[in-house]
Amino acid sequence: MVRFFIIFLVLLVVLFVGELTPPIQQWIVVPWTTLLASASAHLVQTFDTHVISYGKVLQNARTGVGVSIEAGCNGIEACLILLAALAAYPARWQAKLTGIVIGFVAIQSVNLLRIITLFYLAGWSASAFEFAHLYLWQALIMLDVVVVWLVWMRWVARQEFRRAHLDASGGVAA
Amino acid sequence: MRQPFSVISGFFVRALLWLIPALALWYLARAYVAVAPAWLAEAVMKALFPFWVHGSELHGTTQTLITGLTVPGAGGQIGELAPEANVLTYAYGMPLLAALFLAVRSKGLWWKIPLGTVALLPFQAWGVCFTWLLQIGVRAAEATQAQTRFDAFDTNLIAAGYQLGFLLLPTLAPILIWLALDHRLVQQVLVEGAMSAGE
Repeated sequence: MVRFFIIFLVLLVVLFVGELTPPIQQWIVVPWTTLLASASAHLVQTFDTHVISYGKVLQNARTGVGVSIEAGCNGIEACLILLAALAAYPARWQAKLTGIVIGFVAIQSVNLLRIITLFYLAGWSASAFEFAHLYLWQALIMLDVVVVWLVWMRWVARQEFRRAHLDASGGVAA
Repeated sequence: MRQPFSVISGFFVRALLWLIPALALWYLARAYVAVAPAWLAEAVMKALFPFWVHGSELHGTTQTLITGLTVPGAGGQIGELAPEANVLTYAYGMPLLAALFLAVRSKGLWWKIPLGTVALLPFQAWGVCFTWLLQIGVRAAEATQAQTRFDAFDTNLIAAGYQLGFLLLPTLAPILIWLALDHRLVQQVLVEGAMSAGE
């Protein structure tokens, strides 16, 4: 557990500092945030045609109410935490890669839900928006990270047990 | 026999159910919740910068640092810089931590929740201190640099410390403290995973 914590923290700091550098911001963070705004607008347009997006802003073209997706709201930090947790855990690289891809999709799907709910809350009540934005959704996204990590560990334990069983019985591990 | 709910889904549902009342209670008590991290943040700033930090004032959840740093104000007047920070922005890990302990039906809740809450304080104070330092050393750098003696390296360190304290620590710290104090769930998940290999 101590080894996991140390590797996790070192990896996380490296990834986080890397994320803050101008090239990563310019080539990954900003385009990803713009894509999130666009994806949110496309999803919302299936039931609300007044919603548009430009840059990292999601806005109601009729009322003018909108939200800007800033650092901390694009799900990148949550994905970095998961990435560091998966990389620090003793498992095969193939399993880590699978976890990273599926975990990224899971976290960003919940993050899309966060953006859309916050967008509607912003139009309804400023105080409800602030509470959900600053506290509730922050905690929920982290809970999502923990659950994805636990599900992945359960899957890894299952794979490893099967492999060990096959090895012990002289079979070939898949 | 296969259980109707896995360990993880049971944990997730209970964590969600506990998080809502924990957050509501925490928000109702926000004026009291802010007192301890505010005290620690002031003590740290006074210890690190005794020449220009005079103290702080806490109004609700907004804490203002009282400094002797002079800055030019409107109309050519000179004022003293008094950066503000919302303590609550860095303190929502407390209800999350409580919800996690309650969700795993942790043994020794009576000491784990108070100990975890105390362990969160340095992370919360970190966020508050770096919010002040960002306003002093980065946003008002031109006016304060000669007084604070912050160089380019310090400024970059402050910016990184602020991002760390705002984006990562408030949510990450409760998870790490929870795992350090109670990793029974992780063990249960691993056992459940191994047991399911034969299904």
